[in-house]
Amino acid sequence: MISQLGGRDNIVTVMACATNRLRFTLQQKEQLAIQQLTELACVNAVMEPQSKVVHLLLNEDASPWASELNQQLSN
Amino acid sequence: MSEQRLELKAPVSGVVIPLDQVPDPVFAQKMVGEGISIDPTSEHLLAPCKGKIIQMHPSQHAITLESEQGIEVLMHIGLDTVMLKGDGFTPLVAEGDLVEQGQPLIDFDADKIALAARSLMTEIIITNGDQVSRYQFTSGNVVANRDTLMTLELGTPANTDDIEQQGLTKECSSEWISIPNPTGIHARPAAALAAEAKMFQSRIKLERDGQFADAKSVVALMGLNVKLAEQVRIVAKGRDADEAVDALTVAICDGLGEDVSTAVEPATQPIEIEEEVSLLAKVSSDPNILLGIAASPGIAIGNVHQLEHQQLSYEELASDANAERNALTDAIERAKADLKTLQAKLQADGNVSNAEIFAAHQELLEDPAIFQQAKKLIKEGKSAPYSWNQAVQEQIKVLRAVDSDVIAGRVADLEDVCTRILKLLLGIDDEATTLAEQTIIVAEDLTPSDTANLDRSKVIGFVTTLGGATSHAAILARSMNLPALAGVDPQVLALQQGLQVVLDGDAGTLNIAATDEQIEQLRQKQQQQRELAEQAQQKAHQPAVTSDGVAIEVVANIGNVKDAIEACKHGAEGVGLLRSEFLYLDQATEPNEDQQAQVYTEIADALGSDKPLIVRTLDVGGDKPLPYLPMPSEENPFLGERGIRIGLNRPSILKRQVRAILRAHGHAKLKIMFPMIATLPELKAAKQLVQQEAADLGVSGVEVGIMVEVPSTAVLSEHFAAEADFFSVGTNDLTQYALAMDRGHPKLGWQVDALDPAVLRLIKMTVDGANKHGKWVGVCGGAASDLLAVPVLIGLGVTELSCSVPAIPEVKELVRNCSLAQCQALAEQVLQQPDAESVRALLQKL
Repeated sequence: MISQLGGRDNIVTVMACATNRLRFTLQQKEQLAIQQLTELACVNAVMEPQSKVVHLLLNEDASPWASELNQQLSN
Repeated sequence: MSEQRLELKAPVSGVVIPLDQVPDPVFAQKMVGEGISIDPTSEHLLAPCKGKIIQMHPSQHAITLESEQGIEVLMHIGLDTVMLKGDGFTPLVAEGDLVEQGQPLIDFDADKIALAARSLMTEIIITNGDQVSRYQFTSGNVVANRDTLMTLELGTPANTDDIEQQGLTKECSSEWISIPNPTGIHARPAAALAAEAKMFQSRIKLERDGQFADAKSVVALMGLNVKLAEQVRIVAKGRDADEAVDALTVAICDGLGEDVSTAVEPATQPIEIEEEVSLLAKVSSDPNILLGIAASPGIAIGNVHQLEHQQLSYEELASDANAERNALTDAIERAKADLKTLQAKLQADGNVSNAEIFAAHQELLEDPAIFQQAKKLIKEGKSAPYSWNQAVQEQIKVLRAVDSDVIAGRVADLEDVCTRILKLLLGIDDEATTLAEQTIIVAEDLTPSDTANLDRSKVIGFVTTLGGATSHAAILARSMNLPALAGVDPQVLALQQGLQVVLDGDAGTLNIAATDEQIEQLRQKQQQQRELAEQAQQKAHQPAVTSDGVAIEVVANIGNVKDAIEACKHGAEGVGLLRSEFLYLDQATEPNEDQQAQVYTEIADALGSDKPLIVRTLDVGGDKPLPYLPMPSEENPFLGERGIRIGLNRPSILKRQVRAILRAHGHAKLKIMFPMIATLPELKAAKQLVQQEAADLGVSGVEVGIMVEVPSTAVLSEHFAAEADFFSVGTNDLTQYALAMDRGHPKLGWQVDALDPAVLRLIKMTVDGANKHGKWVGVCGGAASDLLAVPVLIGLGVTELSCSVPAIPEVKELVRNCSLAQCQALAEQVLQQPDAESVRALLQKL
């Protein structure tokens, strides 16, 4: 998932919101692979509400994902 | 009709979610109706079919569309989004609008809502499902207005409602119930109520203030838009009407599935925090001197009168409910009459603000919610005082759950009204206490009712243990020109009735064991002061020139024509600050240019054509909004859109005022002054507007100055002086902005002192900058009327003092007794002091 979002350097923040949404703030969206993201088993859809923001609509609670990703990104 | 089908297009793009998987039981259990949900990936809610908008929720997160066939489609964006109160939603249609399929209805900010709400899942629900015989839903991902979301087969509704034909028309209604839900009856509680109502055969309605809604219709219930603490009742007609009323009453009281305990609970059981003594609290070195906040200046020698708030005791239960109810009705009627008399008396005394308080109290007594609740308790066998107290306390509880300053004030009023009725019920007569001459009132705190009943001719001072310089007692004391202390050590409450004490409202002390000798000295000093004041009054019309020949212009702060006349009598050499707000406040609409011009002309004529008249342009803000200029509530009104910022953001208002002022030019030496200037572009923009209007009206020679009340302006004074013709320092605001302390703050207010060396240095900077461009500096804040501060201000280079009207003669007399050289030396010394206390100590020694 990280690589499809343009790699760890491209991810500014990640958090869970609205129960099932993973919200990313990105440096830039050029490297975003929306098609591949939607093909991930846990992702129902992708939304780009703002220029630097991406929501991944998961089919489950997003909080465990957010904490796991935050851990991976900080290492 | 059974042949008909209705196709609904997806109103948003996104992922289709079966309704039973929506994490909200109201929707998942289909209490609102059958339907489906979409987790949206687009941000426009589009009409799923052609139809009419029959309901738009005030919070703009939900809308109901009625199709041409009469099918009601509720679209609810997100879960718990009613809490957002419309933030993030932009409605594009209104109730009653006819819309085409695909027409945008509501735009929403998905990211903002996602960050604030529990979910974005958007429900599309058929609320009149009895018209539908079959539903067909799609699944997977949908694109708005392209994909069909659901197809309805419309069937003839079953024959319900033949109850009336059966002649079973028993009708009954519930008591009035106060809605406990913090956000009122929105979608979720409405659904729960409708679901409960549908379990009964009776026709059931919810009544609020003469408006009715079918309790079985979610849309109708939502349409009633019932808010927290509003009163509703259930009206049912039919075989099971009794049971329905009972069941629904319980359901509403229990919060209709919402947790209503959290909203009210914190207020009912406030966390008891023990008051601690501040590290900044002054400790008296002399056990006979009690320290407090100097709330109103002056010295009083008098006798203590402890105004105790009597413990009101009464039985909880009573045997005769009828007698209790009559007693309560009677007490309320008597209280209303008393309040009316009080109001009239205060009005006659010119005490308008207090008169208004009692007018508001009368309204509270007429509040049906409290009365109904009290009656209910009486019916249950409780006594009148108990029932009344309970009913009021419940109302207070509800109000406390709402976080608002206005409401906090209302709570105090309610408590006052509560006590008034209890006293009447218990036969306690306030008027019975007659006061001795020379009384100093001592109390924990004073309510408007306490002070209104006092024989004011006997009272010479107030001491309270609570409150600060802005408490009711303090304001009252200042208006009566009596000294007062607030926040005094609670041991003062233990003082004996009649004990002789000395209240020093300047120093903030109460001497509880003054010797006869000390008292005699004080009396002599008071006598001297009175003589000086008389002398000053006699010489009021002589100019204020220092002993070394420097003329100081002593002018007045006024608010209307009456003040202008009064100011002239007191020897004012003009007006240094006309607060123009009086023209705007308490008006239903903005006064037009002609009306404004007329008032400015009247004031100018009262002064005379040779006198200066400085008009400050409208100085209001979010903390004191105008009725016809609603302002969004601000986090921080003192740092918000106020003063000139309003004029710059709404130039039409400023333009009308400026033109009106310019038109009065010639009747006096009119000058325009802008409040709250913080940056140079603000001044330039406002000044340009004046120049344009002056050119348009053919008026010239009107000076344009600014208030210096923001530290940035004082620091950059030199640059402002290049543009402004004069400066007037508003010491009150300058002090609170420099110290970042609200002068009305009950705990911090006492530290907000214009004699703080930081403020004095800012004034010095202002004068230095002004001098570089040959401009003059005046002071129109409270410091200009403070006899201790006047020599310092003169020493700093201030050449105009704009005072409160009564202070003018004494300020002028003081100026005559000063020399500029002495004042300058004093100012030098004062500027080197480390804090306000040292400054005051130094000045008091002189």
